[in-house]
Amino acid sequence: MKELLAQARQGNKKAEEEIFRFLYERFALIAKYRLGREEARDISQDACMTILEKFRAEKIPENFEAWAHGVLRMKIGNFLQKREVRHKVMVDEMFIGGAAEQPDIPPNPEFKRKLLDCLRKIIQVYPRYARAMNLVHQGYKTKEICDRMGINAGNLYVILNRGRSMLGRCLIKGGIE
Amino acid sequence: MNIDKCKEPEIGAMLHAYELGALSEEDTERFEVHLLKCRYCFASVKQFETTAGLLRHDGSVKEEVASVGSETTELSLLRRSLKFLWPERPLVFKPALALLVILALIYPAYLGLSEKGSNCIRPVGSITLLPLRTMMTDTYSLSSGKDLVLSFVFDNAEPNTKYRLTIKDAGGNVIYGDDAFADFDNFQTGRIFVPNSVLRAGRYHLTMEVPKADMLIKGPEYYFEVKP
Repeated sequence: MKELLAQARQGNKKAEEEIFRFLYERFALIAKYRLGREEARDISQDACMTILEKFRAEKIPENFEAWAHGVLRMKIGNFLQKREVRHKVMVDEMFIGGAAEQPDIPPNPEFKRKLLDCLRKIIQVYPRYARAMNLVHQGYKTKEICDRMGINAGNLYVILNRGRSMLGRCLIKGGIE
Repeated sequence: MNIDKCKEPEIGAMLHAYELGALSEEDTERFEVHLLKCRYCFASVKQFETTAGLLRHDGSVKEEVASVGSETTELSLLRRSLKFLWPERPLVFKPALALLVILALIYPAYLGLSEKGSNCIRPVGSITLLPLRTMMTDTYSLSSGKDLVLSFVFDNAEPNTKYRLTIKDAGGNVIYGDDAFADFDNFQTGRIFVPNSVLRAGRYHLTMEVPKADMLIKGPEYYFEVKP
């Protein structure tokens, strides 16, 4: 990345495009996780444009990724602020609030059925993952989940990642060993 | 750049917690900055995007997960005890497991001891007798179930000399006799072993006869009493 940045600063258009593509892909994913809707694309594009403008004019910070993430965060913050204002004047704010939590492309029903099937199997064989998921769905964050399960954060991450791997394998193979 | 491995495994470990939206704001930021650097984690999140979206937002998934039951439910005493003995912690921190390991280690030793106890080692009671001019006695309790080790001090005991030793009950019946007793130690203390089974409650008289010029002359005498 540092090399690309240096090349882009020297006016290399290809390097600039490469940086834009690299950031856009990641920003879109992050914004989608944060917002869960179509606006993620616009926000990512906007953040990328800001970064490209700034890095031409200013000195590149040592930790480029953290700085770039800061720009994206600011864009997301602005968007949420505007939406908040919009919500206040809209009668059906409940509807929009709910819609913001939905994924933008409805999933394939067959995939959803398969996922539920796998989830049921994993709940049977791996109750600790099921328990952690249950607490996540109750709205608890990692620290509270750890307190409730009597484990440390490292162990919680292991449980979650192990459950994720089982789920991934189940979705591919259709069953768990 | 390496795509087969996470660049910062400590942060990469938060992967699924991030996908589920369970990280704190601070950790979310850390992980997102990491996503900008680590191709491996980015590819993983991207690949699992649809699944994670469903896990996070889908109503049916939420219902399925909610059916697991929440911690807020009051647990029965049995369940609480089980939870205490087998908490949701790594295997090494489970008290029940530690208990089982301890029992597994102790039980063979216990078996060995109990077997030896029944066949070889039996508890004994010991009394030490001194030659007395009076009829004072030392006592031994029969109900203890222990076999008796009688120790008696004989100041003039000589090495390699065989003494006649007799124990009689109050009725004059010989319950123990040895014509060639020579089992004295360096402190001139002799010891004999009398099984619990041959003893009855009562007074006993131990006599020693000393060989001298083809004759046996009266040696020290001892008294002891066996209580029921």
